[in-house]
Amino acid sequence: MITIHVVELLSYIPVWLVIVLGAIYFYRKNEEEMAIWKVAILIFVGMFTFDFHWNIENEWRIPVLPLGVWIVYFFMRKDSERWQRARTFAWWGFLSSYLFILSGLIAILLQSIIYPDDEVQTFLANVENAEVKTIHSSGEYNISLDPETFSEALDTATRKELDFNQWRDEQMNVEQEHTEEFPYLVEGVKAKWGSGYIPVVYVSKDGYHLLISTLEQQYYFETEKRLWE
Amino acid sequence: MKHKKTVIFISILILLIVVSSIGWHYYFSEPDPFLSEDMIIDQINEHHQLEVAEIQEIIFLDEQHVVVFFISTDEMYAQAFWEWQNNDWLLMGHNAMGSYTVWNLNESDLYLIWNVRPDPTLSYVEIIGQRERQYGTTQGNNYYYPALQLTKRIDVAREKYGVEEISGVWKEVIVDLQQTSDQVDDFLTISSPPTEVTFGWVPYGSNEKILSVDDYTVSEFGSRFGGGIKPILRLTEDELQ
Repeated sequence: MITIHVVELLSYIPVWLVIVLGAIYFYRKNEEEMAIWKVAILIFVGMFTFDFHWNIENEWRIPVLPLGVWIVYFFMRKDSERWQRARTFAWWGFLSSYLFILSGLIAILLQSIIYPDDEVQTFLANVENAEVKTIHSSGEYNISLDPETFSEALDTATRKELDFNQWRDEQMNVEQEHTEEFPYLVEGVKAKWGSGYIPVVYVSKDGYHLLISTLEQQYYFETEKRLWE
Repeated sequence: MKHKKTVIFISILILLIVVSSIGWHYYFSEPDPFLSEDMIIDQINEHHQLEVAEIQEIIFLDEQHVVVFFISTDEMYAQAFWEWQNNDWLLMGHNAMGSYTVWNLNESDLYLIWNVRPDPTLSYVEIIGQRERQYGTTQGNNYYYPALQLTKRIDVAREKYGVEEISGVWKEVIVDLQQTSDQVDDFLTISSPPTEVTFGWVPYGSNEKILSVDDYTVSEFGSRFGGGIKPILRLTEDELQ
């Protein structure tokens, strides 16, 4: 399955543009005569960094040590004039790795504008072929889904806080059969094009709640209308 | 001097082309025709110490994955698995327990494979996919994975050996969650807890009753696995969720 992450792709374009423009600027400023491919390699090597990993909402990699610049220096340490010329581009490569962090921040902002995660349609864009399948014996079998009823009910969905405490078995009674709050799965739905989401959509017993599981996290929605008759 | 540089450049270029075309051939060329019956029998004997009495059928799951159904001289009903890898047909494993196997090809295509000893008490088998509910909090986000209890019936009285592609809900739940736990994407991704569906099989008699271990026995030994191939274990009545 191929999923396209539009925002992610788009967010890289301005970064590369800035890198190229910067390179052109330094090239002209220094009246450089070095071959273009050498400049490209210097910038690329300059991007090798030792990163500090920081997990907040996402995993952020913050460059700390300029490994690439050191590598360039190691090879050119005996030729001071050559190093003087090369270092601008190597350092530019190092600096540009911070640009990627910036673009990551912008991408998160854009993602939330184009693909809001409090709208159920972001995850269930195309419901024409939607079917409800039973995945646990707590559910009824053979529930038929009418696309119209389903999509009307989806229009009434609001995002709620996911609180699992209400669904787990408080008293583990061995005699009693386990009941599952989400015994259904919606099959044949797709997320909004370009969102990059691969949703797995669980539905509650009562047909009023959706638990949407994606690669990143889970989203919980409640509808005012029932999802099926 | 200039001339010398050109020579070096061109020879590097030629070297690159040769190396990459060998690599291309190695990894992307069409597989050779599958092994002859004699070679199949030899390889099973050499790698798995089983004497083949009869090859029942050879089934291609796709161009690069082959299942051979056979009966051994000591009357084991078995499956052997070959995969086209590194430019060669490699024997990936076998299951001679007269039971069921799941093969996960390329991390996306799932196949159920079985070869069962004919037995008048056995009427059909249910393959069960189970996952216990999981919940908790990771990096400030709550998660809740519902319990799963999927069943699939195989009419083994009629079809004693065979292959069935796992699709629909099974595939969606198994493959997607596998991606959730496998994919290391450091952009916009918060790692989710790994979830796994475990398989089991339950034999049923003619009156829709679960057959106990005393009523219906299969061999518990005689298998070797690798490369996405997993044996399915038998579940007793009280192991069913």
